[in-house]
Amino acid sequence: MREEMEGELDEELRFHIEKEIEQNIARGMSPAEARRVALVEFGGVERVREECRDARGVRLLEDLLQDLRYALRVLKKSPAFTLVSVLSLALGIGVNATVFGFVNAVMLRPLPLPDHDELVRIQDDNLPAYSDYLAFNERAQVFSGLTAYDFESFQLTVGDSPARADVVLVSGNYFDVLGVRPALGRAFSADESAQPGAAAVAVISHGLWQGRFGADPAVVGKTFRLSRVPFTIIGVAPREFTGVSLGRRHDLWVPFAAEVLLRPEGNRTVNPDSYQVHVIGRLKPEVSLAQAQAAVEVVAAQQDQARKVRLFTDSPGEQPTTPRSLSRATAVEMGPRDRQQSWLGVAAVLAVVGLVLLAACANVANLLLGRAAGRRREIAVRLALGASRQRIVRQLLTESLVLSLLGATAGLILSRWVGDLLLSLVQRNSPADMAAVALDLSLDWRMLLYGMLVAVLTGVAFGLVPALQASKSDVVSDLKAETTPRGLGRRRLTFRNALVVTQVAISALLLIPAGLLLRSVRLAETSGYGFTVADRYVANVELEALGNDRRRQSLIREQLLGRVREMPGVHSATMSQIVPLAGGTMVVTLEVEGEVPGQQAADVFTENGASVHALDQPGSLYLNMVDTRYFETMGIPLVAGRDFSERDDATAPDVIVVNETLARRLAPDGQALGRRLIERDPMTGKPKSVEVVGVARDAKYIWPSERPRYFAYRPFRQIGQSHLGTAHLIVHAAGDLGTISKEVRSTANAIDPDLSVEGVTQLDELIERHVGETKLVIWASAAVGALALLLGAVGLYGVMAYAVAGRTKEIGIRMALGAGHGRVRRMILAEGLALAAAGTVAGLLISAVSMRLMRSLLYGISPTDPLTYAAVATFLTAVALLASYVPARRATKVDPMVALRSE
Amino acid sequence: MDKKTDLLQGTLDLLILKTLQTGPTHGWDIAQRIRQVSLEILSVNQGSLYPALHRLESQGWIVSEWGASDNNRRAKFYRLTSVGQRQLAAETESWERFSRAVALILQST
Repeated sequence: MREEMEGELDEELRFHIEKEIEQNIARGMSPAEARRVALVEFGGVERVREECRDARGVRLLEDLLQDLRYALRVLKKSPAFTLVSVLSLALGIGVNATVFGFVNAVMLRPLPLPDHDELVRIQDDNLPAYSDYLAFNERAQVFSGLTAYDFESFQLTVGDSPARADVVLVSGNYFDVLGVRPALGRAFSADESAQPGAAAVAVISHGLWQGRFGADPAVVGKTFRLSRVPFTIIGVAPREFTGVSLGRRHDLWVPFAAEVLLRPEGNRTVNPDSYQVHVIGRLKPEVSLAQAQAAVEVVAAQQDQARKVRLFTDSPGEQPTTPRSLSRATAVEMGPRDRQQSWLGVAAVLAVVGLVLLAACANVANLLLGRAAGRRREIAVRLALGASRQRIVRQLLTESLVLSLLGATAGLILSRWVGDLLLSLVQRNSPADMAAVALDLSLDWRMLLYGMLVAVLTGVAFGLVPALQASKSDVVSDLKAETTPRGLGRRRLTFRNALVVTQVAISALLLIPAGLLLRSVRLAETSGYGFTVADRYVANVELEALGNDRRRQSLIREQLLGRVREMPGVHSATMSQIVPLAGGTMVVTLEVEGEVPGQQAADVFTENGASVHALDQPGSLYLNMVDTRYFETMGIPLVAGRDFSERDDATAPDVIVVNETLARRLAPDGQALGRRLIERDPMTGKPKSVEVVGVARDAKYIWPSERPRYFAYRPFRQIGQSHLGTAHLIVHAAGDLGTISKEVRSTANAIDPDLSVEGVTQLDELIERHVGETKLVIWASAAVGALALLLGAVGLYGVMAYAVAGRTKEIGIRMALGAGHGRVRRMILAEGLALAAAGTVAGLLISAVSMRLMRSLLYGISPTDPLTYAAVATFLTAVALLASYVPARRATKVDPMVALRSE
Repeated sequence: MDKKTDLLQGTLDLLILKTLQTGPTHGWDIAQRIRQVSLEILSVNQGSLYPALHRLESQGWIVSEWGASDNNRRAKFYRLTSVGQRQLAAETESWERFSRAVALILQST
């Protein structure tokens, strides 16, 4: 269409010119003369064409393409600038895209199931009860299928080997509703879903099939025992299906009806009101979300009413209402409040990485401003030739957008790579439970849209001001090619210099906390934790899996401990609820008998008369439940009193062993033994008086560089039955991991084939794994700091390069007056260092003030630790030197004659 | 430069519309007519003629059609529309008012 019009226009103009030529010939001119005169008379043909096109308004698209081609040409001509800018942007955008990629995978993407747009969840901040699910299923007519599921963990015994398994209890239609067909075998039938007798069937996961059943192709029909109940395998789930809940392991799926067999004394079939479930369903195709929400609310209101009636209460405040919020199903199960909080958290993280992007934009803006100096002439010429200012600005903006689009593309690819890397790091470091983190980080339309949006925004952000400034040029002076930019010389405090100083300060702010944290952890590691780590082994003991008889559990536990203590090579053994520094805490409010709660002043703890540190959480008491000989096994000396003995059981008076810090608090005079604390029953709140019978040396309990806290130990035998579940067997033995592991397992098997003692690990490895997770976060912060520094270095380079370019005359004069290369180089370096120094000092000062907030994590070193600060300052200075070096060298290459003559 | 074109633009438009009132023709002919009728006083800047024609066409005051010229070559013919007629009448009136005003001022001492 456009070509047609172009052709027509050409023809029209040609016709005119030919007529002119004819006329000229008629007047007597020669054909050549006639032609020349005609063309001269006509004026610039191209110009006419342009103006005609202008008049038609076809201009816009053509201009855009022209701008694009011109922009690409300009960028190709300065490859260094283009490369540095694109890299800066790629880093800035990449970091943001990585964060967004995770957010997308976790909170925005629909589930990878057929027709995922139809899938919805029903939950508020609470989960619905099983009875609510049944009501929704029966009465809300808006679903083509509604299914429920929940997670339990049971002992799974295949042949002779028991192990813990994560079981998903589901309603019978689970696989049908989700649209998943088992890879082998089939899903549940109607009978299996409804009748407990027929429900002892399971669909196992791909992982379980490979792990426990050796990927046997004939596995369908085989049996295993779940918590001692025989089950038959009827199907194997496909490899790609790992459930619909992020972060949960799914070993096998079993109908709700089977819960009656596994837990006869309390299950969803018998007490549907007392158990919660996750609910997910598929909307009928013609039903909208709003319609479905309305239908669900009707049923929920009915449920509220029914519950009130059943519990004979009329006051609405006493009952949480039936959950009813419908939302499109994503990988996470979150109620509206959790979702809100998550978004707040996401916003915070995005703000931080947004700062990094801002730094990158500032860099590119700086570089662009620097280049604008060199393009003054070109722009002045175009303006003189009649281009409008708007046109110039549009052209320059197009260049910026090309840069930002390139940067965004590179950034998206980078984010994919970094995201996968982070994911693999998390999976490697975390306990097996987290292995179910199957996040899809691929670039979907949301990521691409995000990338485009960020590209456009950043392009405008860093490109607009330089474009406006460059197009505002003073035509006359620019055509005269004066290279001295206005205002340089004595003006130190320019916007661009301030930008560089800020970037350096930001990197200091990120590097210092990371440095402090790492140092404090290292110090703690070398100075010892207060217990011995060498030759200690830890195993998980699944008491819960032995069935519900608490007395039987207790008996087996004691049997196990007794036999393990007699194993060859074992010096001592004990059991403990919590393994120090390996995760898990139990905390209650500290209550001392004879004191009014809350009257305690803020506790202060002096360490050998040296500096005074505040305690971590002075109002709280941290607890661990331990068996006899815990202190001996862990190598924690008892400084007063005694250890627990077999006599400290449920019939004897309640006793407690406290740590030194708590002992000092209870009795500054030193006589803590005999003092009493108050323990409250977690269910009823009933108080119980416990007597202090021993004082243990202080140790580290939660974090290697934590501040002192109040810690106490209670004996297993005296604990209310509700606390048992998973306990840890701790063994002090000589030998290697393999032998000890085998021996412990066979000992356990000999006592009861269903007793599973798993995951025998060395204590130091366990601690390292747990501490390692947090260390990862620290390293991440350091990485971001390094990134900010990299960008700062680029910015510094840009500013210095611009300064040198603008001061060729001044440098030329200096050199003409006798300044040597070294002198000139030093001058430039000094200026660069001055900028960096300003930023470093600012960053260090702010850190010194703000690091006080982190005191509780920095035990052992001061928030203004000179070594860390000095190291960071040196590092920043070194980088600044490097960044200023190239411009400094370029300054020495100035030929004084050329520089002076260019005026 | 812009200001001069503006003034001329308005005048040129008027001249083109008037010329087309006598009958449809192509661009070259319009230029000729303006020159001849004004007794060689007004000679249209050819560089501004065609942009003006295209503009008037996009505004809907004239329409174009390809046809055969007197020696059977293809040329684009322009024709006044009814809207263009009305526009011409309006512009003519305002031009006459303008020139009377200028004359009055020039006559006063």
